[in-house]
Amino acid sequence: MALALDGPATAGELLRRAGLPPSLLELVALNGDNVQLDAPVADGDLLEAFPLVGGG
Amino acid sequence: MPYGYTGKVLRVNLADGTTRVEEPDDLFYRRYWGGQGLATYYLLREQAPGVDPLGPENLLIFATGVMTGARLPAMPRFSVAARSPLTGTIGGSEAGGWWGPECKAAGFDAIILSGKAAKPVYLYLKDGRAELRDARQVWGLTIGDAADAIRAELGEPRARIAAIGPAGENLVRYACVVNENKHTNGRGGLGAVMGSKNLKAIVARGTAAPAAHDPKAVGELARWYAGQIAGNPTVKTLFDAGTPGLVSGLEAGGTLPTRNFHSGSFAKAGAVNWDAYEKAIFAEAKGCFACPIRCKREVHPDPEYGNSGRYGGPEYETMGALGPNCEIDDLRAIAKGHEICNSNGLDSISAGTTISFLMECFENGLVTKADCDGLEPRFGDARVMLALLDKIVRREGIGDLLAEGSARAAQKIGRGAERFAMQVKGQELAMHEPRGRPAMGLGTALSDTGADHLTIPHDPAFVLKESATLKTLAPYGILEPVPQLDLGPRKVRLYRVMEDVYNYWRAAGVCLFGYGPRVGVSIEKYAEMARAVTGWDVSLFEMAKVGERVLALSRAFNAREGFGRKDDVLPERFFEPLEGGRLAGKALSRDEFERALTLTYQMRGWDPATGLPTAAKLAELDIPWVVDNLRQAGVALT
Ligand code: SF4
Repeated sequence: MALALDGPATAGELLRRAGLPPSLLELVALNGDNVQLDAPVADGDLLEAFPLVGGG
Repeated sequence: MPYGYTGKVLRVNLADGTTRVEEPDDLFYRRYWGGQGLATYYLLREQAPGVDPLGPENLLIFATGVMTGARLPAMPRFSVAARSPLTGTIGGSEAGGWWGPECKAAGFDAIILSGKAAKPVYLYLKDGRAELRDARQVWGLTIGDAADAIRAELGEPRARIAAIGPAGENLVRYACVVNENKHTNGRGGLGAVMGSKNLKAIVARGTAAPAAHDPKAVGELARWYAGQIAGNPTVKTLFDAGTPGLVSGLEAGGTLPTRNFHSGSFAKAGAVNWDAYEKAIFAEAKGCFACPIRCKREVHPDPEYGNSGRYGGPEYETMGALGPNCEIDDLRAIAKGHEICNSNGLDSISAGTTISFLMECFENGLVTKADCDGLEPRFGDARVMLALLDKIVRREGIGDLLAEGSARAAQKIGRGAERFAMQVKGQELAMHEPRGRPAMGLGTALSDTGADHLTIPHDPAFVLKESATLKTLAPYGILEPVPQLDLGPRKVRLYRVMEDVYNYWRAAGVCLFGYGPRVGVSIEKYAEMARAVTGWDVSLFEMAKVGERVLALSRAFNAREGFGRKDDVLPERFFEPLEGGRLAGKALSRDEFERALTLTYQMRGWDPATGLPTAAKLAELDIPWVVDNLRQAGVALT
């Protein structure tokens, strides 16, 4: 999904806007690298979120 | 008075049919906590090194934990243990379900079986009594049919039955024990040990479950947990999608084992993920004894595929092993494969990974169509996968070779087939990609039962600062996130802490899906439960020490069988680049892996040269008798 940025934003803020609360996430990646939720996101960045997948 | 446990251990001599009961003291239970702790204690003390795992001298032990059967969530588990016919190491495997709590209600914490019965028998436990009965009429039957016949014969519709199927009778080296059709002591071939003893089943029926020390507190804690189901998203994901829910996330993260661990991504993962499962086969969620999480899946009957549905639905491990790792995208065939495994008592992880091994051998010209009874075992062929499972169960044709496991099969095939066998110490890997989960790789190499996944933290769960799973480890001093692909000292420390916790749960009878990182439920809350059940002033420190003790006992057992650091290895494949998915190109570093191994031994207080506990560490764990035990077996410790 594409999200428009109207100012500086962090990975966590954008994921919340996309309806993905951090409590449901295991990994977050920015342009392919794992980052923390406070990582700043810029226009054109690829932000990925991965659900909890521990255990089996 | 014991709280939470019966205080009774049953001895059964299958050769002469005699039984007797022992009553270990309270200190024994508090030191070993039952389950794998109790079983390994007896195996070390009473069994000589070097016994044939399929011979009558191999003791077979069923052991509940002190917490098994408590009226609390996720406490149904029990261990089956013996020397493993698959690995030659300690064999130990836990199952949930219903049998463990019923065994305790029938009056016994553990059963130690020796010798071999002259003809097939089953053991019937009822309210403190034990009786060996003729099982010739059910020998050869599937797990479900045998259980139905036994219940009818005894007039005990509510009996809980742990049994073997034809795979165990035919001594398939990775045959398992199944209770209530759906819950398996899956790993290590302990079903074959049962088969070697002519023991078809252990039937339990009891009406006197051990009392808890503080039943009111137990009730309050159970209610508190039930409230967690709605409010805790990690518990809820297990409830909603069970373990099959893992497929999508692993695929997205590039760690879904595919094509015999060549790739971390399966192009057709969408055909075998939870959405597909829910639409195509899912019937309802079910659980184990007293557990509100209900992560088990029931499936609809599927007459077209010959699937009765009575053995439940495949878990993630089965989905992975019979699906993506064989490049199979036919979910209904995977469900049928699951039924073949559970109804016949076959470990689906080893079976699937041995089949993917054969597929790779075939595609590389190491075996031919003629070697495979006219089958062409190519990746992606669901029909061949199902045919091979049947052949393994019956040890028919190529199935006889595959029934030995991938390590032995590779030796027999030769010409470099070993490099296609994804196994550690002879046991096939579970469906977790070490190149994306290096701590899991480390733990897989170190596992004393051969490759296993149940005592190892999952690396991606500890990466985000906000992670609920990370927060559960704060009481153990794990306060900061650790990067996913890191295998440095902080990751080793995380692994070290968690292996103690998980090994404690293996002893106590607790399901790892209930507490701690897997579901983000406080470990301290669990300790409160342990205090309410036992009346012991249990601390997190004590729990960790019990886990560490279990680990040391297992390693001591293996040391007598010649295992040590040289056996703590991973298949070469994991030091080569992953071929597909988000982590394509990633490989474990050999140097970093060896450094992590050395550091793990050092953090354990073990000798890094041998990979064995030191005499001082065994004394610190209050098991100095193990030093003499090993010395008598010719193993000198530093
Ligand atoms: S969490 Fe799942 S596997 Fe564990 S005890 Fe509960 S229902 Fe059984």
